[in-house]
Amino acid sequence: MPFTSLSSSPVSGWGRIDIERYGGLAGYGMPGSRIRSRGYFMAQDLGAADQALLREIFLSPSEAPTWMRDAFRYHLTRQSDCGPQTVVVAESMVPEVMRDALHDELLPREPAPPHPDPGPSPPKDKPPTHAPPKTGAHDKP
Amino acid sequence: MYRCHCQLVPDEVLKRLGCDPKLSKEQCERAAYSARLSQHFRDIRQQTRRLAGFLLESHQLAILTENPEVTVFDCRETQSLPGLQVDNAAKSEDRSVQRTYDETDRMATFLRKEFKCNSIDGAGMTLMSSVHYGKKYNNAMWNGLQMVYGDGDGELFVDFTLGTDVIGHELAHGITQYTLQLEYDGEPGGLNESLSDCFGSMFRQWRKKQDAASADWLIGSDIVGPATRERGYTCLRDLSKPDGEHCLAPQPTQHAQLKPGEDPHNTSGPPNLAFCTACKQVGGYSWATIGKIWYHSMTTAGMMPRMSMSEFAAKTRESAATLYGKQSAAESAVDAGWKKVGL
Repeated sequence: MPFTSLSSSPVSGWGRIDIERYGGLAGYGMPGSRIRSRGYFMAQDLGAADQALLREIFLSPSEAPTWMRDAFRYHLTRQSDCGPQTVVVAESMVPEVMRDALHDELLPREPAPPHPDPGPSPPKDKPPTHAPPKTGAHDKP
Repeated sequence: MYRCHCQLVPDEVLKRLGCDPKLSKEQCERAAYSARLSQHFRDIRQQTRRLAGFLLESHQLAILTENPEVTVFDCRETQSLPGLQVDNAAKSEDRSVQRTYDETDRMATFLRKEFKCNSIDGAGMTLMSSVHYGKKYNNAMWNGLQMVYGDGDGELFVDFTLGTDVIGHELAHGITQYTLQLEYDGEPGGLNESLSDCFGSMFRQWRKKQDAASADWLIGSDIVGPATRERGYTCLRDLSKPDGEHCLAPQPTQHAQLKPGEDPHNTSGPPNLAFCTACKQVGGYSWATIGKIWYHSMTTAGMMPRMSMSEFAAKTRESAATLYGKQSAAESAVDAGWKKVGL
C-alpha cells in the first residue's frame, strides 16, 4: 500500500494486527523451532498515543538493532487493500500493550513449516509469505 | 536510569509525535524527551563500539585492575535499564542477585585462570548485569554494554540466571565485541552465537569439573521450565547433536545447509558441532586445549566483522598448529571437527 494512503487512513480502521516474536536466546520462530510466540490485537483498542506509534511503525519501520545480542525481533502484520503488510521491528519499538497480546507456545515434535523471518536486517515493508495466525489463543502445553 | 521502551524508537517518529496536535501536552513532552534521550544513548553505544575497535587496533587499553568489579542491578520487573544498583550483591537475600554476582565473578575467574583474560575486554572492564528484567520475561541478552536477565514465566522457562551457560553465553558476547567484533547476521552472526555457546558450555563444564566425555554439551538445560520438560525438551540447543529432537531450537549440522538471512541461533549449529567434536576427539577438559585454540583465534585475528565460517575454521587450524604444533593431536582434532560439518 502506498505510504500516502496508509498515512491518511485512520489507525482505528486498520482492524486486527497480528504480532509474532522471533529470535532471543531460545531462538523463537526459527526453522524447525519448537517454540513460538504470537497473537493479535485490534488497532481500535489502542490508546491515541499507541495508535500514533503504530502508524509510525508501519510508515517508518526501523530495522531491529544488530548491536543487541539475543534480543527479540517483532513482526507486525496488518491487512490492507493490497494484501498483508508486515514490518519487522525491535522490542523497544513495540509498546507493552501490543506485547501483552503475545502468547508463548510449544509446538508438537514435528518439523515446523518454513517461517517468513528474513533475519535481523529485513527490507522494509516486505509482504509476508505466509498467512497470519488465525487466533491469538495460547496453546497451553 | 533510562527507559528502554523509548530508547530505540526512531528520533523522527518521536519528533513527529512530539508535535502531534492529536496528543496531549504531556504525551508530546514525553515523546520529545524520549527523542533527545534516545539520541544520547545511541551516541553512547556507537562510541563504545568505535572505542572498542580503536583500542583493539592501537592496543591502548589500560589495565585498571586484575580482578574486574562485578555489579548487579535490579529492574524490579520493569524494562528500565540498568535498574537500581544492589549494594553488597554478594550477600543479597535475593537469590537471583546473589547468583548473578557469584557466577559472573566465577566467569571472570574462569577467563583469568584458563585464558589469561582480564574481563571481557582484557583490561578489567566492570561486569554489569541487570536481573528481574520485565515481567515473566523469557529471555537474556547482551545489549552492548551489559548483561540482562529475565525471570522466565515459570512454565516454559525459569529464571535465566539459573544457567551458568547462559551467564557465560552473554558474557562471551562481550568478549566477541572486544575481539573479532563479529556482526550479527549471516555467517558472522552464526559464528558470534557459536562462540557464545562454546564459552557458555565450557564455563558450565568448568563449574561442574566435567571433561569433554562426561559433559552433556547442552545449552539452556538449567533454565528449561516444567511445561517444556514435560514435552520432552531438555535444552535450547545441543552442541553434540544440534539437530536433536530434545532441543527446543534444533539446528542444521552441515555448513552447506545454511541459508542466507537465517537467525544466528540457527546458523550456529555447524560451528558448535565442530567445536564439540574437536573437544571430544582430544579428550580432557574442553577449555584446556580446544578452548584455548578458539580463544587464540578470537584474539589474534584482529577485527573481522564479516569473518566467514571457513575463515574462522582456517584460523583455528592455524592456531592449533601455532599452539600445539603441526600434525599434533590438537590440530588433527580441530581438522576433524571442521570436516565433520563440511568445512
